[in-house]
Amino acid sequence: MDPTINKTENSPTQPQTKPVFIPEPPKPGDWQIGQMYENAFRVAKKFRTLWILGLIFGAAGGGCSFQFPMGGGGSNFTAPSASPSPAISNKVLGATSSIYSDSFTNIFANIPAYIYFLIGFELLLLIGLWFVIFYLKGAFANVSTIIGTQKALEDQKLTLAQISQLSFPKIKPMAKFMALTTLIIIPIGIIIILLVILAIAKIISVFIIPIIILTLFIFMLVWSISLTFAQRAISLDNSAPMSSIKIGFKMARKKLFWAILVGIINNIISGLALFIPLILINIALVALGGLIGLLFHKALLVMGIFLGIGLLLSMTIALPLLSSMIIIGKTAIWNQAYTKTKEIVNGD
Amino acid sequence: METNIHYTSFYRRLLAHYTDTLLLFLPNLMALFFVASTSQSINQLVINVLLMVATVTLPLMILSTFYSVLMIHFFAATIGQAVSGYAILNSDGTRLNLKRAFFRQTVGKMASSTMFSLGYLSMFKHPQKQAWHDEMVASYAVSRRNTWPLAVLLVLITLGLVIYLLFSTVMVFAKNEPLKKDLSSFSKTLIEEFKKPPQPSPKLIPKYPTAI
Repeated sequence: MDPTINKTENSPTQPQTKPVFIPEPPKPGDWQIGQMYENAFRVAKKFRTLWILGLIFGAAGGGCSFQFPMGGGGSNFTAPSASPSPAISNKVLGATSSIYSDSFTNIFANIPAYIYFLIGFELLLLIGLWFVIFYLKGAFANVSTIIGTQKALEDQKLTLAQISQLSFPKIKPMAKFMALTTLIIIPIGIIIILLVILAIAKIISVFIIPIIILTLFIFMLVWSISLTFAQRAISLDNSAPMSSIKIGFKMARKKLFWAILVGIINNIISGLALFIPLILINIALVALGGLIGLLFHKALLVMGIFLGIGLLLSMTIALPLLSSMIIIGKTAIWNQAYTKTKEIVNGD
Repeated sequence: METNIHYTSFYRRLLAHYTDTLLLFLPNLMALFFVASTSQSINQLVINVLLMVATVTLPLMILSTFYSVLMIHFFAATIGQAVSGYAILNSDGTRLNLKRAFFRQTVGKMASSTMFSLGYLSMFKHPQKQAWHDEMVASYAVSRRNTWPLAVLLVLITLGLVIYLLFSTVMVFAKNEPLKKDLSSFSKTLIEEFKKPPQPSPKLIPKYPTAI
């Protein structure tokens, strides 16, 4: 925004005044990032009910605000197991047999097939039930966080009960939306994996791999921004799941650069907000522990207890609370971004 | 809600929770006792354990979710809650519908368990003693009868049964000589096999007639 200078006319009778800078009024759809962060900080600090929603959201492991993948998830990689020792496996002309596997095979061979069938069926049922519950929880966490934060941005202080009542009608469309996005992403993932396999097997050119990675990166970027807007379209404007994705894409196209910028800023702020207190706490604890160790030679136990309690408190109470506040802050920013972008999209 | 309504305290609700948990845990222990007393060999033990998992443990895990949902929907209380003398009701005094009961018992309780069960502890501060899962579905735990001593008695009896069954199961396992013999011979075989020095892999000698 270029400030316009409102110069006052200098007449010989009037004293000379300094030029006054009047900022250009924001156009509809302008994001005004500074204002957005200011509002987000105010909401995250002031409305404590939202912290609860942030905690629930964090526990649900949902993703209502667009973030760049930063890793940190539990790796499923397991080292290949060592080959069995010669004592365990006896190789006789290529045929491998092991006394362990023989013994266990003998035990499990006697089990009637219907028991396996029954256990398998029940496990499937249980997994299905947990899946439904976790999906519901994720949908509720998404919807309630978005709605609660939006109300807070409008300076309405709602209770958990009021936010939940507002969220209930939106849980079903949100759950459908989550299922739909999963269904969309799975075939795309399969196609990409197939292309990579074909490239590795030299059926298609290897040079295609960087192109695939680049395309995937751009797609994921646009996809996640679109989903962030789509979730708000469902929660705040009662959009249907499919049309919300379309709205999300439209909005992402309009404000791609700004959305990426906000995503980067969000990640930097949340990273700093989480890691700086952690580092400070640890430095303080180590200093305290060292001091106690110096003062009392045999006070290592006390030092350990102090360190332990400090770390436990910071890890289990302070960090989840802080991260819940960060979640609310991010939600507030994306809510404002959605509202502003809606002005342009509706204007088109 | 009416003004003369008594909302149920945290402790009474905790009591009801323990009553239900112990009641649902009891069949598992009974099945374990049955496994201990009927298994005479490793094969039988494995079959019995799997049978127990298939017929008692897993069905109970599935049913425990539906048990509380259905009980709250149809009777406004689980067994533990009924014995403790309170009911889970809507603000107008009616029973929760199926959707709300399911949400309360699953998503709501999961949310309440977050961060050292902060959602449950919020009952202490709340004027109507609502936990987070109550607030989410606008339900209230309303006292009906002052029968909590009965719940204490039930918990004590169930706890006694649980301890008795646990102790008996351990004793039955300890006295099960055929199973012990089978287990020791099985473990011995495995240990001996493990201790054996590594054998060189046999060389493949071609059995073709050699030209002299």
